[in-house]
Amino acid sequence: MGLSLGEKIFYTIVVLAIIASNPPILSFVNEYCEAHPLTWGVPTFWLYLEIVWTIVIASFAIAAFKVEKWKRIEEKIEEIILKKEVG
Amino acid sequence: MEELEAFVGVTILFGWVFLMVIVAWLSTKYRKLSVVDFATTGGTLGILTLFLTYSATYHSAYAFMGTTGFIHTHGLAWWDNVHWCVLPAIAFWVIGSRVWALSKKYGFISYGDYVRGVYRSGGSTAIALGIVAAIVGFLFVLLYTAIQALGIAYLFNVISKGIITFEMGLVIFIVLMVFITWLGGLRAVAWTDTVQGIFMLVAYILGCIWVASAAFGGIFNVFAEAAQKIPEGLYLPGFKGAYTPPMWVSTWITITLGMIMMPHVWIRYYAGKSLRIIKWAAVFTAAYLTYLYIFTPALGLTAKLLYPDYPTPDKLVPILLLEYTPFAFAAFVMAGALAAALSTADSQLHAVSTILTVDVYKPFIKPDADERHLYHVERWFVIVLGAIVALISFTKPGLFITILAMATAGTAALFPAFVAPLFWKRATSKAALASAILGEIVVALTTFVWKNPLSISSGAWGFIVALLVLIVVSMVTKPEKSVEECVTFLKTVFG
Repeated sequence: MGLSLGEKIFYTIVVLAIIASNPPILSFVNEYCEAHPLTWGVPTFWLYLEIVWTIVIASFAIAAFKVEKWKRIEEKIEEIILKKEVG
Repeated sequence: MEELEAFVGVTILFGWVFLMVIVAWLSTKYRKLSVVDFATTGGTLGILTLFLTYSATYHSAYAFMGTTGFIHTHGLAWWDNVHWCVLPAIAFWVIGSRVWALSKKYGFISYGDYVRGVYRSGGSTAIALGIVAAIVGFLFVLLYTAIQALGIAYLFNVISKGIITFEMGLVIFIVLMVFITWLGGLRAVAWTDTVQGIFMLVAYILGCIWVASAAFGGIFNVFAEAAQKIPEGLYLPGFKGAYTPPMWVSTWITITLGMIMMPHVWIRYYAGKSLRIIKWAAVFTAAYLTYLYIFTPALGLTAKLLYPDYPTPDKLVPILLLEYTPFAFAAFVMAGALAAALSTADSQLHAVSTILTVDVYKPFIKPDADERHLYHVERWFVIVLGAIVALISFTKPGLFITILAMATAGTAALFPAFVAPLFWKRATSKAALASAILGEIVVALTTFVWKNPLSISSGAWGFIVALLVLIVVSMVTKPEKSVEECVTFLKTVFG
């Protein structure tokens, strides 16, 4: 059993966030931040990272709701523990 | 006026101390006199308690005091932090759920007994690995605990207007930390963390908003002022030019992996009631750790604008609070800092006492000790370690972030040895032992001899060497049955 589609999407978002918040991509963003220190009145650099990682947090919450495989794991481990306790 | 303020400050302080004692005492209603219950609550924590104990334990005095110092020194390069806010929470689910499942199967309750257990086919090598893990956990965590005590003793002094001296504050804090841990083990620590986690979130966010508003008329004004006067602080490499690409990457790798591997963080993987609870606790943890800092840039830049050359920037938060907010409010927010420090320090004390009891005392001094005997031994260790923390604290080390980075570098080097047997059947005990030892040696060399070569932090060097050694030595040594068993079991459950 490999990664489910939901897991693949979630882990891809995490990897993309790591790529987006590190050089070389971050270096390009940083150049823009030097020219435009503020966006909508807040620091551009901070706002960019905040948005990138908020997407990850939101994806994590959605995955926790939606990824069926994680729910099946929860049930499976309950069964195993129950068996062990009964055994 | 001065006397009234001192009275208010002391009342808030002791009100907070009293509340923590009451909460810890209430938790003993569910106490069982066994080392399993003392070390892990027997895996009974629900979502709210688990996520808040993880989050409050994770965010230390650094969150309240050190972050402002960080921004003052390096500008918004500070937000490298976001990596070690979100990724450890995801690891809480990805790694923590697997460690939890193994603990249910094999009965792991500590740091060293986990590695000794998963690599048990390695015999004496696995035992040696358990000892190395215990030593690393003990050394780095105890230093970290002393830092919490230090930051807080200073606050006691400020809030009480000097009535409580630095030394008295240190003693009060350490006695409280020891008392909570001694009284109820992880359950008392987790219950008090729950209250403190809520309190520190409210206090810190209100404090940031009030100071920025009082000093510059609003958060947006702080940013506008910063963009005009100190623009170099709003992007990389920060005020001092230190945050070059290698430093940016290696810092978050070190602190993220190091924090995941801290014994007081790791031990919480055993404490959840079910996988569903761990999953949701992980999601809430990601949000809590990140959004606690939502107004930190405003506070940090306010500090830099108002006190550009202040020599000890970690101390600027109480100074700003006292100058720009009413004393009672300042004392309230600083009590939040006390909560942040206590919630980390008592968890660390608990983790180290568990290591000494489960990973040292039981296997090497009294293998036939029963649960109740070990419970009493662990409580004694809590008292002895509290005394050691007090001794270390009186030596007063420097900036929080420097010491935090040193501690996390040491634990980050253990990451490959601990995590490989969750996913990779070929990992062997010999490889894990070599990885841990060489990783620690490299951390020591790149911290004290060749400092951060190529602008890459010592923790990243330690981790890279530990990972390479683990892979190479595993490939040339014989596979081990116990690791294969663990990976097969986890594959059966997790896919």
